[in-house]
Formats: sequence, structure tokens, C-alpha cells
Amino acid sequence: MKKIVLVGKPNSGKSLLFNQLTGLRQKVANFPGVTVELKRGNFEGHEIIDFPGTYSLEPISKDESVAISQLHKTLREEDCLVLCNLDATRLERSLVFAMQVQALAKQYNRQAVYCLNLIDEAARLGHQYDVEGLSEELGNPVYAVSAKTLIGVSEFRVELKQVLMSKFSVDGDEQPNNQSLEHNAQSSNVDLTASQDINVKARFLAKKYGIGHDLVLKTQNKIDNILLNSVLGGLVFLSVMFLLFQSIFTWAAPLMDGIEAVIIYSGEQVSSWLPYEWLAALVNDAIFGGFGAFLVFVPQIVILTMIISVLEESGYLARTALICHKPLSLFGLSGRSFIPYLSAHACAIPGIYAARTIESPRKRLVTMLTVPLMSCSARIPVYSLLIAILVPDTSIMGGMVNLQGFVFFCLYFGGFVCALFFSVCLNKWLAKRDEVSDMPFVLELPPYRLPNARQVLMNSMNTGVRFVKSAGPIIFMVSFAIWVLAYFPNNGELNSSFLASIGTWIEPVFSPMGLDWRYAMAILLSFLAREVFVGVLATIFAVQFNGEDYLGLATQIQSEGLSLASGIALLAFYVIALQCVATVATLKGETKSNLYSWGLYIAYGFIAYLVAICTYTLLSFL
Amino acid sequence: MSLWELKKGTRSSIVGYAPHSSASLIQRLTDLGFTQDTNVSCLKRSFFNGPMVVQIQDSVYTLDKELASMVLIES
Repeated sequence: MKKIVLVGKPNSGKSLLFNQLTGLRQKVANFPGVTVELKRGNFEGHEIIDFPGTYSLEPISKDESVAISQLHKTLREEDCLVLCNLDATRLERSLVFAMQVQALAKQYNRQAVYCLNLIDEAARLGHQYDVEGLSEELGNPVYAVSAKTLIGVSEFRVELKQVLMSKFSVDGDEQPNNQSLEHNAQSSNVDLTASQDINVKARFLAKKYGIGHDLVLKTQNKIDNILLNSVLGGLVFLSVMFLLFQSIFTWAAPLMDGIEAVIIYSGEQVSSWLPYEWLAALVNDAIFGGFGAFLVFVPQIVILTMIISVLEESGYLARTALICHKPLSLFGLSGRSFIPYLSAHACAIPGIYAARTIESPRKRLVTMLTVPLMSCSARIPVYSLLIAILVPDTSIMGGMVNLQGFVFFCLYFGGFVCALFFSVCLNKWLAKRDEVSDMPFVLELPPYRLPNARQVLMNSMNTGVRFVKSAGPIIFMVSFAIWVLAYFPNNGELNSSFLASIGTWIEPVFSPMGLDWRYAMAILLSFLAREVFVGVLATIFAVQFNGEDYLGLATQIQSEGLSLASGIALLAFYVIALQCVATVATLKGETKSNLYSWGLYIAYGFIAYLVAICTYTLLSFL
Repeated sequence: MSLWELKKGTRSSIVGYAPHSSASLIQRLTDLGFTQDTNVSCLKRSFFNGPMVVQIQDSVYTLDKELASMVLIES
């Protein structure tokens, strides 16, 4: 069966068209060897391959080369039809792309058809498209649709099916312009004259058939006058950031509590039926506990992705990249690093994936490598416990600011500052290594559009599923392994377990921080997954710990005495150290490099250790 | 003069690219519509040499100083 290759520029409604053609029958897969996503779906028995949106078919970076050569390969080897998605509100740019696609399809003897998408927005501007005229001028069929409001979609599906079934042969009498285009398409060098020809023709056709520029951009520019304004725009931006943080902490909380409660309850129920004590402990603590350890993050990730998706679909995200670009570029980052950093406050893993949109390979790498410094949700239990131990629950500044809350904020801000510092260092280091190039900043400011609910939900669910599939197994196995070490060989007696032996053995490493074997154990284990720190300490101090009641454990530890110097050293340690094997695995997947994944793990751990020791030593003298 | 020097609210047309500009960057800008004899207007400028916002035909782009300096316009 003939395949369909779907191409189009970003922000042209291509994803929505893909969804409409495939229904929910689609699968996201990675390109082998590179971070470009390829969606495959099924349209009436034909496979439809959605290529990532590109502005041009001429690659200028290594990543783009991989995507474009994959496109060439598919057109060369598979029997396929090229479906090119065009934006009815941006006819000139769309036509340039359309003609490049036409040349490409001709090169491989494949048929090309065009979908003039977003026709509803054109209609709203009072414009009626002469689709027949445009088809004739282009020499290929053009179908007007609105993937959003479904105008023309059912007719298009019928026509598409017919086109797929019919045989395609190279047209004998070609239009004169196409000759030069075809000739130029054969050469692999950058050819500006061909580009100029296409641009001239596109401009002519857009003037004849398209919508007036000022009309198309009127609303967008009006809104931008507000949102890119220094004062009002700044206020909107801060409000949006505040909203995102609220979503991570406040809105996701009930869902997280719910999941935790369900898991605890189920664990208890199931294990109460089991005959042996060790088996009951295994099922309850290791298995249910293991599932709980990663499932509890899913609500935060899904809600955060939903909000970011809404921002992206509406077009506002591009504006945030513009607003952040100058400040972030001072540290060697891009304006687009803003979203990965923000996402990483829920979990570093979606943050690392979000870095894919960064145009410069070097800035993308630096962003990915510094994302783990953002204080993710897994650090919250550690911060909460240490703050409960060390910081009195009072208010400062005349009762306006809660001291504990303030310290929390300082920790978060500290992570961000560290990230900026390391970005500068990494940029200097990478500049010497030629392999990772830099690229200047250019970004289209797309029109403002109402986000499509279905698309937003689909993105969020996909992110959640991806997290569960990739990070889940790792976190689960880690929890399981920790449980085994803690339980054996003396059936739950932690003080004589394997874990305790290891802790005692490495105690000297942590005594320069004023910490004993119990903390050594907790820290060591938290290198697999941070949140384990609290659970391990709770078990050691024989405190029943279910959920977020840190007070019991904090009181225990306080009565024993944890010096302020040690406590702050610990906090500094947890801000910096990369203690998440799932994150390392994600970095390995994205960078395909051991240096940038395991190397980073070791480097941050080591730096955190040094900083903690210095902090302790300094504070002990005060 | 270069596009980077275009004041907010003014319009000009593109005449070419600065000598020694990277071929791949010229290609990318051409693909985006920054071609000869195209009208370009500046919609916004940012503090501290931040990226500028320009309108080219029916599209709006933001580009940083490095790229904008490469594009030559009629003074």
C-alpha cells in the first residue's frame, strides 16, 4: 500500500491535520541516532509518516541534515505520496515551501498534493480562496481544509484515498518554470538563484490569490504591542510564570495525594493476604512502594505539560523565548532554554526533552546539561525535612514573609543561579571542542491562535506515558534494589542490614561534613533517587513515615542534634548533586554520549561534595 | 546600512547580505523570506541589544544582532 509522507512548516496546523487523518491510531518513534521525532499513523490502511516541521528543505545543521536525509531516503525507497501542508494565512511563505517540496517530489518521481490548511481563519478575515486557480498555477492539486473546524476534511479524505489508489506517472508536458526548478533540485549545493526564482513566483501567486499582509497581521501585531511591551508584557510574563509554579505545587497536590493514598491502601490490602512476613514486606514496600515512587510525579508532569502546551499552541511561547533571550544569552543560553528550565522544576526529564526545540546545538547541549540543577519535585522531600529540622517556623520582615518559605525559595533560586554559572563554564569548555556548533537566534512569531483542546490533551498524555515508560522501570528497579539491601540479611532489621554495612564502611567520606554512617547511607542511596533520602532516614530513626509528615522525623533528628553547619552543607549538596539515574538515562538517550550523561552524574556529585565540605568547614568557624 | 540599524516603525527594502556572511545562514534567511527587494519593517526593538522584531511580507520574525547585522538594507 502506498505511504503518505506529510511535510509542512511549523505552526501551520500540520499536527492537527495528521490527527484528523489518523484518529488516535498513531505512534511516536525516534529517529535512529538522533533526537528528531517521527510520528507514524494509519490512514485507511495507508501508513502516514509525519515529518517534523521544518522551515526549509535545505539543512544547515547536523540535526537538520539527519531529518532531511531521512526524508530523501523515504522518498527514494518507499512508494509514497507527498502531502504538503500549507498555511492559508501565510500564503507567500507556504508557497515557497510548497515549490521546494514540488521540486523534491519530482526529483524522486513522487506525486505531490497540497493541503491548504487553516481555511477557517482565512474565511474569518473575509477571504475566499480560488483553489482551482491555485492548483493550476502550481501544477498539482490543492485541497482547502480546516483541520480545526473540519471544513473540507471529509471531502479531502475521499479525494486523498482516490489519489492514493490511482497510478502516478511523470507528466509529459511540463510547465516552463518547472524545468529550471528540476535542474536545480538535482544539485546538492546551496543554490540561491533557484531560491530567488521560487521567491519571485511565490510572491506573485500570493499577491494574486492570497490575503493582504496587513490584514493577516493586524490582530497579532496589536496583541504583541501589549505582550512585548516592557511593562505590561513583563507583568503578563511574570503572571504566567507564577501560574506555572502554582500548577506544579498547588494544583497537582490533590492528585498526587490521591495516587499516594491509593497505592498505600492497595499495598496494605494486598500484603495483608500474603502468608509470609518477608513476602508481605516485599510486596508492600518494594513493589507497591516502587510503583508509588514514580507514579506520584505523573500528575505534576501532565499538568505542567498541559499548561506549556496551551502556551505553545496559543503562540505565546515564542514571545517568552524572545523576552528571555537577551538575559539568558549572557550566560550562553537561548531564549528557548526558558521552557526546559521551567519544566525541570517538576521533573528534569520533560525538561530535557523540551530542550529539543533549541536551535543551536551547543546551546541545546548546555541547556540539557544544566537542567538537572533545577530543583525538581524529588528534592522537595529532602528540602522539607532539612528545613523542618534547621529553620524555625517564624516570619520575618514584620510578619510578611514566612522564614521557612523564604529558605525554600532561596534553594530554588540557588539551583537556577548554579545553572547559569555552569552554563557559562560549559560554554567556554564546549567552544574549544569544535564538534558542537553554535547558531544565531531567529524565531518566527506565529499568529495567536486558540489552542486546540484535543491537541493539548494528547501532548500531555503522551508526555505522561513517555515518562512512565522510560523513567518508570528505572525508578522502580532502584526502589526495589534499595529495599532488598535494607531488608536483608536480617529480615527488616535495618541496623544490621547490607545497607548498614555499606553505610558504616563509607562513613569516613562524609565525616568532613559532620555526618555519621546513617546520613552516609541515606546520601549514598539517594544517588539512585533523591527522595529515598527521607525514607531511609525515617527507617533508621525508626520513625513510621507515610506521606509528608516531616515533623515526626524532624523532631527526632533535632533531639539528637544535627548541627546547622552540617544541615546547610547537606542542603548545598542536594541543590547541586545529580541524583537521579532516570535523568542520566534520559541524557544518555538524547546525547548518545557517556560523557554527557554518566560524566555529568559524577562531575555534579563531586562538585556537590566539595561545595558541601567547604560550606561545613566555613560555617563551623562561625 | 544593516537591518540591525533599522529604527522601530520604519520600513526599508533588502539589498543583499554583508560580505563574508556564512552561506548557510544566508540560505536560512533566504528561506525565511529575507530576499532582495523585499520590504522589511521594524516592529520592535529591545533594551540592551536584545533581539529585534521585523515584519517581512506576511510573516513576523525576531532575530538577534548577529543575524540582523548580516542583512543589508537601503538607507
